[in-house]
Amino acid sequence: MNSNQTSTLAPSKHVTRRAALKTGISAMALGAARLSLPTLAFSQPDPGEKLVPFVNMPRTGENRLDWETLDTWLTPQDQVFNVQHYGIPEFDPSTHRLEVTGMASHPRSFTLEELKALSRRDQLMTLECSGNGSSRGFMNAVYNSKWTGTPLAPLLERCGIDPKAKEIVFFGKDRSVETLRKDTPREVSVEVPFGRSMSVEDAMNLNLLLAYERNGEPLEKRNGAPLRLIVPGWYGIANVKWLDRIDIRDRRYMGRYMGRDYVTVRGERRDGEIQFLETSVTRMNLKSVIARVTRNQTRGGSIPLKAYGAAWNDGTEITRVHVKVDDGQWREAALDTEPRSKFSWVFFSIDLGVVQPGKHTIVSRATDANGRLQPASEDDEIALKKTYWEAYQQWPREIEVEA
Amino acid sequence: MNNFISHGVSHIVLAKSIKMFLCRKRLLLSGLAASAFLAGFGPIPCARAAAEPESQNGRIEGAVRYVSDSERPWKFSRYYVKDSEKGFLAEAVVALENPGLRSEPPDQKHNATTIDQIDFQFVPETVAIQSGNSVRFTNSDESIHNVMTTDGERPFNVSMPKGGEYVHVFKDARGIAKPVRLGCVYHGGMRGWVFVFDHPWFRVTSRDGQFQWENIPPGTYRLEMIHPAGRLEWRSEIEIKANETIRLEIVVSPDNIRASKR
Repeated sequence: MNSNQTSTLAPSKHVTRRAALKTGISAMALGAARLSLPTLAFSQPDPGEKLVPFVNMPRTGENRLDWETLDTWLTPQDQVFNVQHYGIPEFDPSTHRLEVTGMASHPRSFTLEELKALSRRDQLMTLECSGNGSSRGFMNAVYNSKWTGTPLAPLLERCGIDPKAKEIVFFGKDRSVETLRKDTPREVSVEVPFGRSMSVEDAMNLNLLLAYERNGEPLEKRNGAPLRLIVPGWYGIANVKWLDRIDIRDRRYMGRYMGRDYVTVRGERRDGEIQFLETSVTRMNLKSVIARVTRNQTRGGSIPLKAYGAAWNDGTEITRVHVKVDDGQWREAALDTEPRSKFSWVFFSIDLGVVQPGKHTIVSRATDANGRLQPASEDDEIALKKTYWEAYQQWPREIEVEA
Repeated sequence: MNNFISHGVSHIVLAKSIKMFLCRKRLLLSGLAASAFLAGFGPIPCARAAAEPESQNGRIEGAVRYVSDSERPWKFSRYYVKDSEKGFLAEAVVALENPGLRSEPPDQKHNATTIDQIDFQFVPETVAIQSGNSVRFTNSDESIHNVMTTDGERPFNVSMPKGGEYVHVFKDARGIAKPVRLGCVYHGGMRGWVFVFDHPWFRVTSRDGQFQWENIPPGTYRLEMIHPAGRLEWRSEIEIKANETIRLEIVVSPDNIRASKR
């Protein structure tokens, strides 16, 4: 499925299977539920399959992805997170405008109506906060959506980008005072808008979208309404909310969330020594996670287990996901063939065989078409990372199975 | 429960309690068919005690029960409903309200509330206290936490390193409708609620969904239930008569889930 073939996709309202997993309701009820399952779901459970809760994981609250009940490919709105660094701005969305400023031969301003009158495109995309997965307390800041809006590149072409331009800066309506060189004689405090940037080349070639809908509904304000930049394959921070200005420049933008925060500090081994580098948080890394584990009735003292999960990245094809129980062998999981989309997560499932009663650890790892393998926490690219952004390490899930 | 009267008298009260129970069906039929209510009657324990005859006050023994709907699942039920068949709802806040309650003296037994941070959760997640009482926050995790709120007239934002402790006095009674919402700036999924009342007639349901009050002054009250984590709400009028025990079961369903704000 490509990103333009989305007209039949809609947020699923099916939920009965989720309830079945949660409560272990009768096989009859489950059978009825299965009849109503649409295609945008995990592989269907066997009758009698019941959720095995993860051990020591915090409860999932509102506006967070509920991994253990996840069964819809497009995430419902009540499981969508929002993070903002300058608060949610107060303004009248009906008068909102988008300005294109700076090194353009035809700088101009657009009303929402004008933007909605331009060509319209859907973009399927999984959006993850780059800090997601940094701890047990922050595991749910990821969701999959069908964004709808107008493509950015033709709009910028109409504005006429100066050939000398190097950088496109995207500003949101949210503002705050930032202090540089704090507690020094050269301290300076200024009020600035939230901003993120990328090269002109990236901005023109990555199929960026100026989105005003999510899953066929108007954006919610907390998620950036009335206008949000969508950058397929990039971490959430690049997807600027409450977008009101696009500035074309000939030099690097170094605002806080481009030049100082959302900077990964990581050690790399060179000639036997570790050299630390600071890099910008941009494209999403290859990642997978076990969403839930289910069990069936005990057979001969052993318990049959299944695991379900999701894997995502920057759009590079995900070819395999392997799952391991305790210290056992990695075993290949089945990747769902539908729905699939370049920038969206892929669901996987695996029959784990049987285990003995007690505590067990289950972990997944993804592989992409370039041979990249999702690292473990002990691997250098994670172990030598000193900042919490880009937390894409394998994530072992602990369960306790009763006889 | 420290004012039991003789066994013989309690039988009289038992009979009266059942009568009260039956005549208050309106309390129980929140959006449900009568048959559903009757089916749920079984688990309510029999009356064993009576109100205080000298004080002429009343008594409530209650339970909150969640009736699931497979077409409209409430994803939080796995945290708060221990037994999906019976549906008893834990960690719901119930409170009586009427203007006369504010003259009640402070309930000192609620002045030793602790909320710990364990496994990236506030534990307990929901507490109810009387205004002027304090909550002691602690951190038993290895990770650094924080406890903060922007609610009320005295917001706070306190770093909580491993082993940290912070005591906050909650002076503003915001009632059942406006709990103080707790969070941790480092871990956005952590959440908790402190309900602050200007009277002692509040309870948080037990793991089995139960609650009770003794010595309720006779009168007409608004009885409210809120489950903050799941946004469940319920309210009704209730009349307390002297020397009577009311047994009630608050039955909620997905119909009681408050819509989220866009």
